[in-house]
Amino acid sequence: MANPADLPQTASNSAVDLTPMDLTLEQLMDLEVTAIMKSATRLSDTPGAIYVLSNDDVKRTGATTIPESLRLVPGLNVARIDSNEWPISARGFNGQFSNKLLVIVDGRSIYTPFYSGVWWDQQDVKIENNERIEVMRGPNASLWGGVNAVNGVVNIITKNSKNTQGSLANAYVGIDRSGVSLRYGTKIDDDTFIKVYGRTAHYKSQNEPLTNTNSHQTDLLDKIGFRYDKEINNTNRLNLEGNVFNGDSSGAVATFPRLSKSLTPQLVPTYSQSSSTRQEFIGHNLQGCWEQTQSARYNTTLQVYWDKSKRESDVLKAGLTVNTFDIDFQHNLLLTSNQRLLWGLGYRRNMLDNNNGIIFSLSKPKRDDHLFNAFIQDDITLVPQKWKLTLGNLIEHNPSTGYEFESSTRLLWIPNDHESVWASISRAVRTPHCAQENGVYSISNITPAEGGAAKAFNPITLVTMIGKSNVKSENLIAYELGWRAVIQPQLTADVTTYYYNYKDAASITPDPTDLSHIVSGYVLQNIYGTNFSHVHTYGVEFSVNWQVNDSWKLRGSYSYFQSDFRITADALAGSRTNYKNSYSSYQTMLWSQHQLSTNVNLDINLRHISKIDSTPNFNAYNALDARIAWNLKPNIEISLVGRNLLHDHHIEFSRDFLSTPTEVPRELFVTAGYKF
Amino acid sequence: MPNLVLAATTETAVKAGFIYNFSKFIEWPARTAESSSYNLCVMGDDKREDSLDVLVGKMVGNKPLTLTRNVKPANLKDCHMLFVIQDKDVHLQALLADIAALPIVTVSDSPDFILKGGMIGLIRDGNRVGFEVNLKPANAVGIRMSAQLLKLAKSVKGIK
Repeated sequence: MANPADLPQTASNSAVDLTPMDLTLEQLMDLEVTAIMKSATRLSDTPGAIYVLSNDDVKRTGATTIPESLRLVPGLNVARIDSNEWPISARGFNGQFSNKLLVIVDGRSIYTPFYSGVWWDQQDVKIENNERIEVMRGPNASLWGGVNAVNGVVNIITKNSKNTQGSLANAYVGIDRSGVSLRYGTKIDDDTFIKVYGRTAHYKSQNEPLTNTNSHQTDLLDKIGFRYDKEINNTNRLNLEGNVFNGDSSGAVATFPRLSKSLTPQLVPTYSQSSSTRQEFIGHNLQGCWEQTQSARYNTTLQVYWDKSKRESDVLKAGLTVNTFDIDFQHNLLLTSNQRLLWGLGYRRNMLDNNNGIIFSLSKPKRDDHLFNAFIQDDITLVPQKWKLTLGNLIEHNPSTGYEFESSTRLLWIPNDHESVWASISRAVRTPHCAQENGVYSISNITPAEGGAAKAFNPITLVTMIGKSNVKSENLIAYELGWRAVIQPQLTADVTTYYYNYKDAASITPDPTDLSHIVSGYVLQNIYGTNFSHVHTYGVEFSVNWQVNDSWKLRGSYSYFQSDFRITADALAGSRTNYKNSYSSYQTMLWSQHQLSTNVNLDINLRHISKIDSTPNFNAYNALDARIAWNLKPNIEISLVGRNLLHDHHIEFSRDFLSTPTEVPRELFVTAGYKF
Repeated sequence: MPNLVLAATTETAVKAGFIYNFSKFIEWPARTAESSSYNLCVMGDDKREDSLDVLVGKMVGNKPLTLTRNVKPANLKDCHMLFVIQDKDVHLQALLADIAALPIVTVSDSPDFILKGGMIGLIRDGNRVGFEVNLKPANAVGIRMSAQLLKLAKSVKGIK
């Protein structure tokens, strides 16, 4: 335990703007007590749009997966496309393969370099294992680099094994989902703790509404893992953790072109086949972190991880193995009482190896990429308790576009003890990913006129997405403005507005039709990723928290989003924008957390999601989730959870490459948790 | 790479927040409940515990909070809550034995406080403060802690 006497003198000065007495126990437990950062930073003093979900918040909604939890965060777009597949993004540009949201688990980025997004089905973290989820909307590339930290960061922090001593068993059972998890934590010595855990989760496949088919398979995720935490002399902290997982996403049925070999369509009917989009995955990760506090002014962190996963698809007859090795060093220095410096260096190696199939292949089946970055961030208190300036810069090198620079300038103003205002200008890039550069994916075909067999000059046309290596980085300048206020000790409000200007944004351009095989009876229409979009987006996010009394809390949020997608004047003929209208313009949430008696909690969550314009069959929808929980004993809890109670089923997203949307059903399930 | 800093503050201020909040989740037996003020007592070297001063005059239920520093053994019986500051000069086990029959909620940031017979131990977990609870000494003197409090505790000992 740090000795408060060691803290620099300003520690007690900065305490004047704190009123921990006005916080609830839950909030107090979330407060960071950072010896190094002697200046106190309240959540309300963060110069950015941050939203925090505690473990209890998430549990009380009845969510059993991370994507479901993220539905609670204003400004995020979350949709369930299939039983365990999720398009998730911040502030627009949503898709199952969206690439502008960084997600980290205990400091490890869980993206796949294949498309710079997250395979949520394989990366899910068990809810009981989470300490909290912090979501920062807006660009954070000046700290994390240009792979995908463009529109937001989701930071998932798992529980220290010191706090998970003893055994915990959890189970949930319903018609559409079920799962079991076990966790055991023990103390090796006074400063050393370890936990091990295992889980299995099952999701039943849902109906595909257009054809009314159901793959009748079950999505699965099995995971076992451990976390080891050691403190040495109060100055060194060591943490090791690892997971091994295995599972599949059954995937609804979709139509694929029939090929005789890569880029060669079959020339006689039938030209298409319907297949399940089922994918299987297996993988593991191992990470270590060593944090050393040299003095009250200096602190260093060294982190290393290795992540390996393989995904296979029957219909694509392809399997992609990805190995990521990453090492990061970070140094936190308190230069003067008014200036704090954070700098760091990072190196990442991504190795991709694809078993090329016929429908899907990589033009470079093996890739070995080395990425480097260096960043520096300076927090300057201009006027104590009044003005704070944060400057961040990052330089990185990647094999696709070479050097990239990202920066941010953030200013915080605290006019009085219950309000703060912040503004920021940031520059971020999203560097090209493997699928954009090397992917070869035949998506559809146009059958010969009047049907029948394809012949010379009455050909079949095969449409293929082909990656090209001259694709550029997408480029964003973001302007944000925020206001936070403690209106009453029990009532807080937060408003953020933003205007984003993307240049060289992703577009799709057709190649001239390749007629070289017309004599053989087929032509090729290739399309590829380009940077001919110019996109403006703007929006407002509003959230309010009201602690009505000791046992009742109400929260509300509203997000509004608008965009303007244009093809640039110099674009090649036929270019189209990408990700236009992939979001709902407004989302509203009301959330009640009510303790009915000492042992009974009732949570109700009501959301309205407006129509996504690009999505056929998709209408605006209302969703009502409710959970009632009983603490039979302090160590036994049972609950009844209802999700999407208002409707029998609804659709949340449109087809996106490999995934076919299925109906999200009304669900009822029971849960039980037992600590022993 | 860097974690988002949620919030940071001094440990002492946070502990004061905890001490104040605990009172909302605890029921004292009738005899203590009848007193006109809520008495928070402090024992041990408290020169660095200036943050506790902010609690003076706060209301606990309908009673004003009074703070008694360096509480004398003879006055312990008037305390609702006793905060024992981590201090090598305080002999914890002897102190706890002396007041074992009194309905006083004992709180301390001393290591292994609840194993030594204390009721609520404040513990440091990385950069955060949490607490653990021992129900056995509380039950013995008729002090009741709500399920909500126990749920938030990092660990609970002495469940019947």
